[in-house]
Amino acid sequence: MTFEQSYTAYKDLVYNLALQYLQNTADAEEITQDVFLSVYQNLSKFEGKATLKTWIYRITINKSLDFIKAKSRNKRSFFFTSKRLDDPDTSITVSHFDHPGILMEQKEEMKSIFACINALPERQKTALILMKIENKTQQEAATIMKSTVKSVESLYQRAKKNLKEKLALNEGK
Amino acid sequence: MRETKSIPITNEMERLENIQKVPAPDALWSKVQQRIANQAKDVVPMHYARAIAIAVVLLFVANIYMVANNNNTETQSGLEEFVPQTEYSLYE
Repeated sequence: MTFEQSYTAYKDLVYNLALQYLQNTADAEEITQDVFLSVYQNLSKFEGKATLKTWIYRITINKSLDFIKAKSRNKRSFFFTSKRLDDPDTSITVSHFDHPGILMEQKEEMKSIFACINALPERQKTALILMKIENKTQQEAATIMKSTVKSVESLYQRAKKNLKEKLALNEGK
Repeated sequence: MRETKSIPITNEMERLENIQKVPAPDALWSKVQQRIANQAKDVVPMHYARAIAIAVVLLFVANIYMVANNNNTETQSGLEEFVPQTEYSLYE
């Protein structure tokens, strides 16, 4: 498959997956560019151990998580705060909520749900996004996450539990 | 007895399933191509890198050669010759 063919085949997949992580069109566009630049550079080195689709999924997830980390680092250094990087409260560093896949009347509600999802640990967040939003099976999610079905199921259940707690906390506020 | 508030988690999860897929903007392809072109421009060609490396090595070798062939070593021209010092006691 040539680079152009792979772009045509997977551009929507990459853009939508980035949107689930970043909930902002400008950021998702930047991630999509980064992903395909990376694909262009490494397509010749791609060994075919996974399918091209799985490989592109992994690149997108890693780029999105790196983007969030970099953004939270910049934000912290700007305000001279001393919060830890793995502090879940600091992980909510997305740009303003601009998700075109969400209906206008549900926007506010979905914004608070995504705020809770963003506060989940990385792997739980990925399991939830892949299985609930991207409608991947446990097996597919496990392949993408280079993990076992059992482990992905456990991550997904923990993500659901944590999300429930965070939503309850938000409602209580 | 305190009544516990029920959290509509199933409702929230259903909403996540209903997020629509949107097409990637058409302008993205030209942006990707632009970035690829810019990156190719930024990469220094291999023959340039080789030429610079060879020049640096030659300079280094020439430097060693010059130092090795410079026999006018005036090791006796230290400060001691100008100010001969015989008394070393400091605080008298």
